[in-house]
Amino acid sequence: MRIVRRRMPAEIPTASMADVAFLLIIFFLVVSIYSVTRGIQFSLPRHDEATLTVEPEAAVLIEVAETGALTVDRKPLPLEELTAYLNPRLARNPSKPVILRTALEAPYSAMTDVFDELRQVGVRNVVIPTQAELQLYGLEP
Amino acid sequence: MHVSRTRERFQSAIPTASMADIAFLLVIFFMITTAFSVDRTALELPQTAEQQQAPKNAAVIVITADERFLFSAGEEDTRPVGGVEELAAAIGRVTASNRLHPFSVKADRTVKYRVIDGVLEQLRVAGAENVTLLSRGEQAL
Repeated sequence: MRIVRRRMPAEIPTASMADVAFLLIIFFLVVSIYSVTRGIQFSLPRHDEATLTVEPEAAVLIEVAETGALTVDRKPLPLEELTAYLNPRLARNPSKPVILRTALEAPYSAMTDVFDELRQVGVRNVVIPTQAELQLYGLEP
Repeated sequence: MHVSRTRERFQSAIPTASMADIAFLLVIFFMITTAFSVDRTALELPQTAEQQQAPKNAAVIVITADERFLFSAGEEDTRPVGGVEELAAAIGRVTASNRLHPFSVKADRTVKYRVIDGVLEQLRVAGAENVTLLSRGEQAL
């Protein structure tokens, strides 16, 4: 008897392989579009460390009002002039602390606008005290 | 003519063997570059010029415009949490296992600062140190 098996060409069907792979590509493309992983970083004070140890005189105090208006060291100052105000102080002391206090009714974006500006100027030491902290240290007027 | 005869015998075929290789190369590329997002809540993030990459696997705290909270420890998808107290408990569970675990705060730009202040206070109490406020880059406009 003749062996028929020998005549059969050995071949792995790879035509659908590309389809599978492209399906995976589309999956990863779709999934990766939505991820938001960028922002402004800051460090909260260490738990065991005494918070707000900075003398208020030595630090720059920035207050953000409900309207988004700024008060820097008790004097009103537009956001555009903040860089000019901080630069000479940072030149003298690069680690000069800046305390950022935001009115509770102010929108979140008012705070991030100022925070962003501080990061751009190069302020390394930004302190964002929370309301509870201010009350704890008796700094709340 | 002889030429026309030979043309008829020529079998036309598009070589597709390398298609799968190309596709898998793309798959690997997207797998490496994709950061799986644990949260897909649509928000209008605040805009900042300064941006840093948030750490991978950071726990995500989402605050929507209508002041609802969602939380993810970093691995699973975000799920809604009832209020600040429940959020504080969830933050506490994360920091209890790892104090240095990074946190990302993804909040709508119109949210009142009072809410952000409450969340930052909970993070401070829980001992979290590394916090990123997620934002939209100004170049993304």
